[in-house]
Amino acid sequence: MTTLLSSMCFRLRRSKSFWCLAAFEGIVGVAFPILNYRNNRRYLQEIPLDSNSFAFVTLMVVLSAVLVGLFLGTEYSDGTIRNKIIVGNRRRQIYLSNLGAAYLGSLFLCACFLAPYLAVGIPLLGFYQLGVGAILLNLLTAAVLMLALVSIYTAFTMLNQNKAIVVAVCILLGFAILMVGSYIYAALTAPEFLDGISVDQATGVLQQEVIPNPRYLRGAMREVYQFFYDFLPGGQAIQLSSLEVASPWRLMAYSLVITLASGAVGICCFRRKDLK
Amino acid sequence: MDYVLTATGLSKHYRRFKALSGLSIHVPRGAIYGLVGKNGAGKTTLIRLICGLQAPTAGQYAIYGIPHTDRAIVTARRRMGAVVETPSIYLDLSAEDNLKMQYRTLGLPSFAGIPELLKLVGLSDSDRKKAKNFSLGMRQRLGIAVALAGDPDFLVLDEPVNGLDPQGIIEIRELILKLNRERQITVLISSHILDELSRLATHYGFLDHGTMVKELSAKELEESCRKCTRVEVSSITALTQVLDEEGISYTILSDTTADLYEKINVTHLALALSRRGCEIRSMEERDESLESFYVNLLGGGRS
Repeated sequence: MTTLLSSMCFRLRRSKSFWCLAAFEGIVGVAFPILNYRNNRRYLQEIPLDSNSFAFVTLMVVLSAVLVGLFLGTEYSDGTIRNKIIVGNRRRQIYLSNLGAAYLGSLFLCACFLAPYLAVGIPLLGFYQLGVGAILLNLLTAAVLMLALVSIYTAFTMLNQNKAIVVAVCILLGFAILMVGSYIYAALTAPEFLDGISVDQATGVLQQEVIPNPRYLRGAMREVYQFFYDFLPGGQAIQLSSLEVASPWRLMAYSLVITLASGAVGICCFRRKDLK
Repeated sequence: MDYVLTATGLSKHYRRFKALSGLSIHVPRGAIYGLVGKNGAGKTTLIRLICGLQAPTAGQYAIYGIPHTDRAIVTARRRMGAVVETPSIYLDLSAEDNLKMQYRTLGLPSFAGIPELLKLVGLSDSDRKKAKNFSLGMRQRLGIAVALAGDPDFLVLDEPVNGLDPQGIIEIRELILKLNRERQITVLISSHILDELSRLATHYGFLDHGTMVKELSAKELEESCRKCTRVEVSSITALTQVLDEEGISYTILSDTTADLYEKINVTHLALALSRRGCEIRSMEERDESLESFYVNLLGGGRS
């Protein structure tokens, strides 16, 4: 399998779309600290290095979809996946090497954001306010989340032979993951009480009062939402990008469950798939 | 006989459609085996199965004697190369990079063989040009080079000359012959261009509706297709007497018609028959080709 992984990494290095995505990540990585620095000076704010340093996570939900769709989709569109099967490589090995190469590519894209962000951000904004240990733990959580995302996209890509459809659906899937995460986040952060104004019927005087928010999640429903916020990649991406991860180990465990489940389904179906 | 590929009772169904139905095939070592059949006869399906791209619904095939159900089939496949339908090449890579990819896939330790391989397929001067800018013939040759990367003993080519110009067809033909003669590579080749196939193949397999109708060697085909003169006479008895006297080989087709398989002196034959009171009604030279054999065997139609 290492030979397959090596060949896929070789192709990744030769891929224009991969380097375009890397350049995009790099530009965004440079832009964030510069904008934060400018805002700090203009509006006398104190935006720290921490803010936006994990913005790459939400970006990567979509960019990894583009990477996997384009990179692995080419294996079908150019027909080159056949070369691997014809010379006797097992399908499981092919699947795992594709997953591995796409994952390494995604991690590299993350690095393409972080390296320039830190190189430009530390001189302008200072060092992390959060401890180094916490940052590293969040990085590890993000790395495991990337694995889950790439595994989902890989499963979809390896089971569909039309590259155009694969790329389009992967991108839509990426946005759907983020939208679901945002929806759950909005539901969980809805205030328990709302400020309301009532009119005293007798005196006609306006009165300010606090009323319960009907959309506030309580009891079991809140627990269910919280579970999905932690479990789903979209929720995890939002937590990581705002560095508000309460239990990183649990999130990593959830990501591993998603990785294993999508990987198992993907490999199982790919092994039975009739290739043209 | 030593066979590279054998199959028995091979079937492949796509829901209700039977692409292959109890097919058998025997590809001898060192042969150029031509697979002939109409569109939809099952040629490409057969190639997909033996390349491991699809699994048979029923039946069995063996490569170098190893059944496809055996885990050791992986080692047999290492000795195989194939170009199935379109050449499997990365369009955004150069010829050299495509070969490097395949070398890495095969786990070959060195790229030293790449220049020789490029020379063999006539792509030495392709430089850094990407495969997407190649002509169809160049892509086909690169596809073959990729298939040859693992130094296979068995090469499977599905319609390798489809869409090529005459020069491209000649180049591919010469390459296949060279590989077969100089490297002793067994080649399984499917083609619609029967005339082209007849210049290459040492063995033939005729497919129809997913079954193997007939397998024969080029020699056997030549014998059944040999040049003859078809003669229609008033008395077949008189004709056979004359032919026996002259020592000419023949086949009687009816009470009045026979095929003569040697060059004949028409005047001499006509005089001899005339002496026996037999008249010649018609006489025509017949040169049966692979195409006419195919038409006779499978009933023609679109090939």
